[in-house]
Amino acid sequence: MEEYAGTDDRGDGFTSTVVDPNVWRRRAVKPSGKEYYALLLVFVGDILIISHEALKLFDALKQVYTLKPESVGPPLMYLGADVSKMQTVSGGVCWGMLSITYVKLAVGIVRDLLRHDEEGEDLKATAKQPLPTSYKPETNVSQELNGMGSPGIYS
Amino acid sequence: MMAPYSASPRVGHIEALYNIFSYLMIHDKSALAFDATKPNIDESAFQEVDWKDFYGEVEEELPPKMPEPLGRPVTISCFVNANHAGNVVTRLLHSGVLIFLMNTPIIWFSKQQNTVESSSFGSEFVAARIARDLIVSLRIKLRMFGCPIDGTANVFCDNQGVVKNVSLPESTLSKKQNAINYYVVREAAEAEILRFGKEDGETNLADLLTKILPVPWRKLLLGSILYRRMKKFLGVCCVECQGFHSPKADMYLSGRLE
Repeated sequence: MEEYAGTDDRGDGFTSTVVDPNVWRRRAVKPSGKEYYALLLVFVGDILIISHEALKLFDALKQVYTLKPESVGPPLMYLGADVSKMQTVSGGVCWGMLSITYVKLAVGIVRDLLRHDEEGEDLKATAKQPLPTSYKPETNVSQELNGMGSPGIYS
Repeated sequence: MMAPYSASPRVGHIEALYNIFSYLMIHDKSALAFDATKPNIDESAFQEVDWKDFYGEVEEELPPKMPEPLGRPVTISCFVNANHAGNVVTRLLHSGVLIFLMNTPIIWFSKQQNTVESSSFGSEFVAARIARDLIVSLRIKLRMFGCPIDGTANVFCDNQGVVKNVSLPESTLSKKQNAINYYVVREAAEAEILRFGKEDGETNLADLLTKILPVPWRKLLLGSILYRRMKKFLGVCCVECQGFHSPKADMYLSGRLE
């Protein structure tokens, strides 16, 4: 990232924050004249830009890095979570985070494990709550899982 | 809730996990909104007090090299709760903290602590001290990002004893074993890092993080935090508030956290 945001003229003045080196910051002015910090968040191959001129900043990034053309635009996913615009209770529109993709993947893994188990069971689509109200895991005295099922299945 | 049993799980524990995944399989539409509107805080929940006569001039320590704050100031709100002696075998307490930045829940803390407290007051004070630590850490982080903070953090707790001890300078502590938590949280109050207000037990959102709640109660509280994906709007995916708000929850939404 230093290549893009470093101290040279092309760097657009982004500096890495002390509290999180993956968050880069620079002063910016909105068309209304209000000052704020434009943020650039980097995580491995994902870059999220929070600015009123994000696409312009991505154009500057393209001069240093090779970006997939279809990957530049409003975010659909970030760090494994679905990202989307939402309407709030007060009627405004804001960004939001959903876990549909993540949960589907996680549930799929558990169902695969269950199918390969000796009893070949599946998850029941009837659960009204995550755990029964009276459930007390500390009072459970059933058999320990060590040695049961496929090796490493419960790790 | 299940994390303490990950070291040597039993058959019953993994069956409970299967139940959690069964629930997730048919309840995967919830969403978190990054709602930047300012929460409508009920000021009557807090008491205006002067700490100077007791502790002198105490100020919040600002991080060195912090940038000039720019942009809209953000409000921090926090719900804190403890399940006193909730573990029926070891009687360990379970603490829960939920922190909002404006109207967005951003920090969720749920942990079975390694200590046993002799009273619910002591358990709540342990959770209050954890909330204080998380809030101080968040305030430093925001300041280092250049984000201005709008006044003190509003902490809601359902234990009247804790609220009084932290809100009233003249209140004293009769239980020596809670002294450290007592002074740490009071120091944060006098430095105007946070202020404590009473929240009803039925509407304390941190209850979600400390115990298994009955379905209607859980839905009531979740309805104040999560949204449910419903339809397309303006060409983008849109979510609306879940339709299960009871009159009390609606009242709540129009009060503390609109």
